[in-house]
Formats: sequence, C-alpha cells, structure tokens
Amino acid sequence: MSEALPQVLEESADRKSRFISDNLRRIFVQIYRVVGNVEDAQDLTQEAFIKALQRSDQIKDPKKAAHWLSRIATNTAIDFLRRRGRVSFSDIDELPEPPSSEPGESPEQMVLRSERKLYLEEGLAQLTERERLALVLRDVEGLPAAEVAKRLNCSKATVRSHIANARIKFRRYMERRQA
Amino acid sequence: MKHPSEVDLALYSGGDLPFWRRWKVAWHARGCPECRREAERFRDETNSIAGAASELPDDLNWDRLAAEMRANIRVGLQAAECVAPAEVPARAMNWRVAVALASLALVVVSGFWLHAPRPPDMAETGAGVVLSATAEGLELLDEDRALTLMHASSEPVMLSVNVDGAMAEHYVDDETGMVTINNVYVQ
Repeated sequence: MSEALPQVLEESADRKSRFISDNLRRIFVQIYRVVGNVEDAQDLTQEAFIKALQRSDQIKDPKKAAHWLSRIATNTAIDFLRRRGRVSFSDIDELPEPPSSEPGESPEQMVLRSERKLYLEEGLAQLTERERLALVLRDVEGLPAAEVAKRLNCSKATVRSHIANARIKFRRYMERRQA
Repeated sequence: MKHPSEVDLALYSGGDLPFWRRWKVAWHARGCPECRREAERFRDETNSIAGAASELPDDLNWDRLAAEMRANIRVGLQAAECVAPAEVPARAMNWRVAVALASLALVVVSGFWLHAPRPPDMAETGAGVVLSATAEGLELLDEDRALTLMHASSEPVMLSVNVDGAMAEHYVDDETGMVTINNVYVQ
C-alpha cells in the first residue's frame, strides 16, 4: 500500500502533464480567437486548465476530457468577457509583425497565410462579442447550433441570428478588403 | 422569381437552417445559379475562417509561451491544493451516517415496543398477581390460589385491558338479556 501510493501519484502527474501537452495549443487558440489578445488568452488558458485539472477524475477518457475542457475554456472566456464588459481587439491600423515561416513553406505561401490570419483577426474584430463567440464555436470549433445555444445560454433562433450576422459582416469586410 | 434572403443563404451554407427553410432554399438554389454561387462563397469563407483560426498569431513564440503556461498551471494547481478545504474521508462520513441511523432505529423500535398493545387476554399486576381471561370469566391468580368472576353468556364476550392492569368484559347475560360489564381492578 505504501509503495502503491507514490506510483498512483506519479501516474496522476503523468496523466495531467500529457493532458496539458495534448490540449494546450488548441485551447489557447480557441480562447485567443474569442478574446483577441495573447495576454488575456494566456491567463484564461491557464485558468481553464487549473479548473479542469482540479477535477482530475474527469480526465481518464482523453476524448471526453478534451470536449469537457473545451467547454470549460469557452465558459471561462465568456465569463471574462462579461466581467470586462467589452473586448479590446488589437488596433487594426497597427502595422502587422513580420510573418514567421513554417517549415517547407514558400515565401508566397507564407505571405498568403499571414494575410489570411490578419484578415481573420480584423474580420473577427468587426463583430459583436456574441456574434464572434457564436461564429468561433460554430465555424471554428464545429459545434452544432444547439450546443452553441447551450454554451451561450440563449435560444437556437438567437444563435442562428448571431451566426448569420457574423457571416454576413465577415463577407462585407472581405469585400471591402478586396475592393 | 423571389430569391432567399442573405440571412437564409448565410445559414444555408453552413447547414444551419431548420428543415423546412433549408428545403425551400435548396429547391430554389437548384434552379438559381446566382444563389448557388452566393451560398458557395459563404461556404468558402467559412472554411477559410476555420483554417486560419487554427493558426497561432504570427508574432508569437509558442514554445516559450507554452513552457510559461505549463509552469503557471503547475503552480496554480499546487496553490489550489494548499488553499482547498480538507476533505472529509468518505468512509468516516458513512460511519457517522450509519451510527445516526442505528440510533434512530433503536429509538423507533424501543418506542414501538414500549407502546405496543399487550395481548388482551392477560394483564400482569405488580405484586405477583396475574389477571387473566378464561372461557368462564375473569380469573385472578395468586401463586396457587385463584378467584374467577364468571360470566353467564353463551354469546362471544368482548374483552378489554387498560394500561393500569385492569380488565373488563362485555357480554349479554343469557338470563336477563341485559348487556353486562364486569370490571376487575388489581392493586
């Protein structure tokens, strides 16, 4: 018994460490798309993991745990936005940082990828908080509208309205960029 | 020809319309290249959003940030453990519940036993005298001596006993036809 306890603790620590490694990037990006800046996304990602890992009995099944963690991350981001009242996206007139290249990527691909990211960030900044949340959960996370409604604590019809507005505003923004 | 609204096309492109509206838009789009193209454009934009959204910001040193976050999460968990209220072991909790339930059960059983009605055909008195009902009447027994108050009835007799040790019998007297009550008290 006295020998089994450290082993159990070690296994639990390994499991937690693996859980963090497997999900850290995904959760950070998910929160970043909602709150729009790295500093807040970092704090909220840490908060979401700490909340999740305090219930470490929930992380035995990796697939369910990943889904559950996404929910915690979304709720943490929503709570943050509610507390703060509004979102301060990075200024769209600000000059973008020089793009960093991915391995095996041509300069043209790099510029295109960088432009696409910039458009996304600027496009998301055009939306209201609810529209952005609905769009990220539906189109980026791929959740069904009913699940998005549950997370945003509103009706499916309201979620549909947010999604439609967000897609239309995004299109208008893209049209302006291309004009 | 009336085209679907832009809202409907935006929702249709992502499969977010309710069944009936989806069917109507799909039916229209089948014969309208303009609306079909619009829906496809919405779909392409959605795909490009999803693709771009999974990438990290350009100016971010992910390895450094990830290491920092891992360290902060570890510290946060340790801090949370320090301030968490001590957990009451589940087993100790169960014992307490079990003891409480056993005590309650004991009280209920004792109460029932103390207040349970005694058999109506016999009542014990304090000084070794036993009062009992027989087929002939009410009988007092004191060691080897007996005294019987006989009833004169061929009909069934109704007996009652009270908590003081008294016994009563109610019957219809065969000779007089009157309802007769005999009470015997033992002191």
